[in-house]
Amino acid sequence: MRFVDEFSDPGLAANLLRTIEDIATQPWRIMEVCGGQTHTIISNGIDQLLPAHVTLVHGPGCPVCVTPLEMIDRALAIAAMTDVIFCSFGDMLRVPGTNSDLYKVRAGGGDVRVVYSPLDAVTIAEQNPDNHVVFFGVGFETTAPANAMAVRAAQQRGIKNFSVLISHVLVPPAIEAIMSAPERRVDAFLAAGHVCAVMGTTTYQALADTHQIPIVVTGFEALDVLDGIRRCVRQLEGGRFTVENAYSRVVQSDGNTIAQDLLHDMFEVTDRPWRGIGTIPSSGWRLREEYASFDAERRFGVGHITAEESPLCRAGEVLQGFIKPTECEAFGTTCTPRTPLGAPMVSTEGACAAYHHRGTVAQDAAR
Amino acid sequence: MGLVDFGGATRRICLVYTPDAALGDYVIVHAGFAISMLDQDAAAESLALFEELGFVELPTRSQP
Repeated sequence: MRFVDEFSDPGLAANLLRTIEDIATQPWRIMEVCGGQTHTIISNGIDQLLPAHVTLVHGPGCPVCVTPLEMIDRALAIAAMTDVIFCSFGDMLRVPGTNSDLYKVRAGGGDVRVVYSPLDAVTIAEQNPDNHVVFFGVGFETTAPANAMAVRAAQQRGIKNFSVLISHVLVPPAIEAIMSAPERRVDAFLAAGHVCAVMGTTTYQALADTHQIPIVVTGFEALDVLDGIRRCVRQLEGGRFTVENAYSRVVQSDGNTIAQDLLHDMFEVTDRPWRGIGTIPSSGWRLREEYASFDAERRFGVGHITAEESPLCRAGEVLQGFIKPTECEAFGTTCTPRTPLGAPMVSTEGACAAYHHRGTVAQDAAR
Repeated sequence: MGLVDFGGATRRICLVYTPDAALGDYVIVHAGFAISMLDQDAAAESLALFEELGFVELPTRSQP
């Protein structure tokens, strides 16, 4: 038992699919919020196995995809500075800014390093006292506990040459924005299991009540996603709308309270622009004033950098479920994983990259 | 910090958010931090439910 392979069992998947086929009598549109789930859906072909009238809509939960363009440009400005060691998760390096990306900054002589954890960046700061080490702290509620603890560790160890460029985003305000949009075309949500593992599930009940939508906390293996869909359909067909936990092996209703305590101590809620989507009120976290010396944005004075997005990239429509990646004119032509116009074509969690990869696999199989 | 085995590859992981994690437990790891412990009983319950769905008699629906 490794709790991974068992949750991809084809026989059990067939049971779930047969149940969904049986109970789904009407057309339903279900949005999976998280890019990790998008990846599971596309790589397992779940969207193609479901009954034709149950449609999956891919949501904005790809951290690389929604990190605002201006924040990428700020990262590029800092990374190009002399004496700065810029650390990031690997998938941010190819994300295009307005004129460049972190790989190009590195090629131009910038010290840009890929790390596995923000704690690695703290260690690099300790080992390089003459440099300033900046960690690019992007991501949802899942990654925030790591970034918060890195700042806390630097503070406790008296490391002054470390700061974080924070660009955190939050799931509930994104669901609120999608449900409030005039183009609203979503009947139910699969909520991101690991976000809920940190934050708990209680905040989602208000969303389910207000918008009368089922919200099912869902894991990341094929059976998890199928069970999430089954529970959504069961609620929709029964005219019910509540929060259900289909990921009980990992998610407790009150989440990880130790992590929440540190997050609330260190971060405050702020408005945040989402790449391709626009500003969503109260949808992000930034460092509180007490931690200003660890805030790279203030330390390097890059807060004034703003950016205009390319009109060629329709990532915003993809991320809100208005269009499928393949409906974009640039998909697979001017925009490919090697030459991405927008972030969803870069990240492994991005919907555009997932569709492009499946198309490539299908073409190879046809040959 | 604790040593976590990712199906063969091992890594030192910060366990500050899962203080109850003990030798042999499964944890969910994100960016070098364990954010949750895996409840093995709940996992078994989920799998049993997916098994049971295979034995449910389905009412025959007329084809549209």
